[in-house]
Amino acid sequence: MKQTALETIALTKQFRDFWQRITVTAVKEVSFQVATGTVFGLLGPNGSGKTTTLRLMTGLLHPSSGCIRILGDSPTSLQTRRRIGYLPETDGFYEFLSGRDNLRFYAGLFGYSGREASRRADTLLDTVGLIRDAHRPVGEFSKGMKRRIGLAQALLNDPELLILDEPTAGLDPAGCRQVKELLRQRAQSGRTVVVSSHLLADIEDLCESVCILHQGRVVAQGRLAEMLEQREQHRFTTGVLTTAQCESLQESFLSITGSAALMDHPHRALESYFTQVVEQVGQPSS
Amino acid sequence: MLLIPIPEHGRLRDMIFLFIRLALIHARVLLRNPVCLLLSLATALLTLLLPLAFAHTFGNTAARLAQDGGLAFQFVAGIVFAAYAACAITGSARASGTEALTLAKPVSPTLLFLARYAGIAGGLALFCVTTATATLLAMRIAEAFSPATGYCIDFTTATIAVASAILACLLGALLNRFRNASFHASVFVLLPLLLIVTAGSSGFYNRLGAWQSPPAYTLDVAILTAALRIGLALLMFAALTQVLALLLKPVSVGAAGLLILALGLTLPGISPAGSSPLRWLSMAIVPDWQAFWTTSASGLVPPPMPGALWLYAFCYITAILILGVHLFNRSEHA
Repeated sequence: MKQTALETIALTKQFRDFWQRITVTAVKEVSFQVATGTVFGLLGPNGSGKTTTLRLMTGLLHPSSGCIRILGDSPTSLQTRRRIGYLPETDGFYEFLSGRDNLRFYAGLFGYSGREASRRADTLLDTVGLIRDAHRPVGEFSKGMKRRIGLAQALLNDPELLILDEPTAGLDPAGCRQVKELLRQRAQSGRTVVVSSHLLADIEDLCESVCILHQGRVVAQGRLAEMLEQREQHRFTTGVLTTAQCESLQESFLSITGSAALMDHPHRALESYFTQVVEQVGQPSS
Repeated sequence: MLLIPIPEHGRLRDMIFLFIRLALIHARVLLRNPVCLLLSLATALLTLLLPLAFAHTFGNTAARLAQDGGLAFQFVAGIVFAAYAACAITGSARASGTEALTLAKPVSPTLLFLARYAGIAGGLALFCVTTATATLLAMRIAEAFSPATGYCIDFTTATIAVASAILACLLGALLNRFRNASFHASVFVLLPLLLIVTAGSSGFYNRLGAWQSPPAYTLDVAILTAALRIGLALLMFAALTQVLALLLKPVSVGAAGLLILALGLTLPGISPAGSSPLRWLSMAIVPDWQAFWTTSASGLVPPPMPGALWLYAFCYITAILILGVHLFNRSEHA
């Protein structure tokens, strides 16, 4: 039985105007648990309350009611913040500072010495593929580069819980793949990752369990494999068959089940095909 | 509940380093702001050129008019500087997301708020050094009588002082071109340094520009205490606007700041004189700006005054910052 890294209980967030009238209820009675060492996905259309939920998790917003336990503590506790990493929707960098200096600054907020901050900054810049651009001001970075360096800052303290708001937004397919691989590795090493996205393919690739939000409410949650499994059907996958073999199988299916089976060639994911093509073009001809 | 938790043993040093780190980054953001440089440069140049524009002295000495003009420029431009700095720093930290990202790290909101004030105060201090030095030089430039030179304006000092401002801009451009340093921040720092060098070198020549050795200084440094008191009033106003910036939009901060400024200037006139409780109450809510403007009577103030003023400013700033910390801790940072 895995331990719980994050738990929300009847979490509600209402935004109010100057006169304290409720303008919008962004999150309504949201309850879910995230097991340690898993990748958890928050899914939902625009305005469904994903970002608000993540901000509540990081203590940047205060819940109107309900509660959140992160690693057994309150999200506003400084001890908790020492153990989490957060990638916000907006970048949050000083645009005049270089990528390396930004990372050094944020590493310094954890109390790391100058040397340790530099070491971590350089390692992470290498991890996210920005070591060549380390000395360029962040203001000159493209959207994808900002996302990468944002991920690097979220990893500065090697967090036990990583909270990511749209981590692959603006990234090219190769970047997406890198990020997803990095997050998988973290989960395998016992770290917990919470990802919010409306990119369904990313969530499907990454997450073990998901929570689907709509208009601030949880409309579905559970293990992704169980949610997507179609238990009323079976699928067989074999090597390539001849036409005669196919016809023979169809006849057998018809005689056993009373109906014909659907038979076609499986499709691979576009991301996998794209990556293969780009890698082939990038390789020098022998 | 304590607003500032007492740190564990050994954590105090980390907290101080963290405070310095945060204050420095806010000061850097401020110094890079072109509006702040524009205010500093314009105030310095206006102050330096003011003595050249006097047509009538209305019975006062030109130096006295230059002094009052320079201090008035420092106060008025300083008020704008303080309000703008508070709004710009608070607004940019929110808009860029640096505030949220910083608070998602193990940084207490109390520390961030106070460090932000320290950053603004640092920029304001540099602004005050620039304007105070410019006032000092303007008093030397103003027409005066000496047995050796008779009545004359010190065009040599005026030329060197204006040239030093231009030189600061040129050096800033060179640093930007060859070291990628920020032009605005470089000029903001170089300007007071070069003006101080100008003031330091002014003892080596007389009002007609003739070399004199040993150096004989004619700068009225007593005016620096008056400039310091205005700086203190500006620090109070900066604290006030930083708290207002948490609650209001920039335009509203400006309007509220102006209202408080006007109230502070008029309340002493309509509240009971002396040290009645009502007067103290009004001074506790709205700063008594008049108390900081004590340059009449040859620029010197009675000895007990500065101590009481320091205490008043310290108490007022502390109270306002505690209120600000309370509001900042309660506010959301998304």
